[in-house]
Amino acid sequence: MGSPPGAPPTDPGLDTEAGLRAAYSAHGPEIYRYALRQLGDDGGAQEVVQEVFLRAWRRADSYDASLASLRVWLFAIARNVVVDEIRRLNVRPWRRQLTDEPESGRDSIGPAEDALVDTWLVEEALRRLRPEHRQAIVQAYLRGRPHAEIAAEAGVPVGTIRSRVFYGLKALRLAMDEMGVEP
Amino acid sequence: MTPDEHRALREALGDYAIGRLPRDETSALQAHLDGCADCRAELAEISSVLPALRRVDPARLDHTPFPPPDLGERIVSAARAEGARPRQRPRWLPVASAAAVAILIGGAVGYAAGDYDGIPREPVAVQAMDPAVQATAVAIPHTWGVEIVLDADGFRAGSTYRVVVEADDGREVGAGEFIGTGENPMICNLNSSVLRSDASGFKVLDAAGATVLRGDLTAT
Repeated sequence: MGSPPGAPPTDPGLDTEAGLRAAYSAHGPEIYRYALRQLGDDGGAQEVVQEVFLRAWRRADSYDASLASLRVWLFAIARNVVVDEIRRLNVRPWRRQLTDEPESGRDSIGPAEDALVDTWLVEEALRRLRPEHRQAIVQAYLRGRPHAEIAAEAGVPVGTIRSRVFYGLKALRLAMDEMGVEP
Repeated sequence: MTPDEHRALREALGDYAIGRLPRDETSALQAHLDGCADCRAELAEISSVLPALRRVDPARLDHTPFPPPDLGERIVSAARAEGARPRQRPRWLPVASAAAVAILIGGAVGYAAGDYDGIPREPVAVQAMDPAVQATAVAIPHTWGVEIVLDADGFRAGSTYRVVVEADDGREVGAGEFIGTGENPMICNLNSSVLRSDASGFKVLDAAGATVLRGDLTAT
């Protein structure tokens, strides 16, 4: 695995144990949660994660950091592995009618509906925020609690909750951008 | 307007976006938005996360599932074992260059061309040299290379076939093998490290090395 000319030196390659460990530490838990959400099964989710990193290890030479971030590349593999696993289990929780063949009764076998994946992505992005930002968004927006109540609980002035909502939303947009989610 | 006053208006955009700005402050903020492109852009940026955010169940955030602490080391051990012996087919499906073959009873096929999973699927023109072979294929451009999904029947039952992807520079890169299923329809996922943009076609070769099927990947 060389780095492209002129690029800064890259981390140890995925084909080295150090590189594999680093990639797992950075992305393994998130891929695990993605698989868990898709399969609803802890054992299956662990197998998916193992398979994703083994495929990445085998194909290390085909990863090009100039084309995609490691996270995006690993998730492209993860989506395939999840499809394979769903097919293997012959579990079809996400039945989606194929519009072009209405009477065939066939289903495409694939990961969950986009809405579900989007929701999972926002949850992951929220987990990356500073706790005070996450709390402000969850309490004020998702739980609809009054600012004064949230402020009293946190021991801060009411105006602080307002600025945490604003900077929290900005941080959330940035986290989603980093995860490759288009606005 | 002082910088501090502007900052106060800007920070009120969050509450405004989530519908929690008191009514007596709303009209002043809206008047400011009319004349401040920066704040309008700021509002658009933070509002863009709300449709997906609205669907989050806050109870899920109280508990973040983590994989077992030893999973990372199990993966490293498995990789080490793989590196030390001939590559084995995994329990389930295509590796870098092993085709997965699913024999479908009754001929139902779970694929459709078209957009799938955010990755476009592109129908591929195929030509079989053997009249017994009926085949269709789609190409999926992944970041790591092109995947060919071959949906076919009529390959001699029990015979081994090899698939290669042809690159623009003349290389032929293995994309796995499969065993013919005779009249039973099969679906193979054939993964190759050749990027879609560099791939010009693919070939299915029989045990003697003769081409029995061609796919054209030059068209875009």
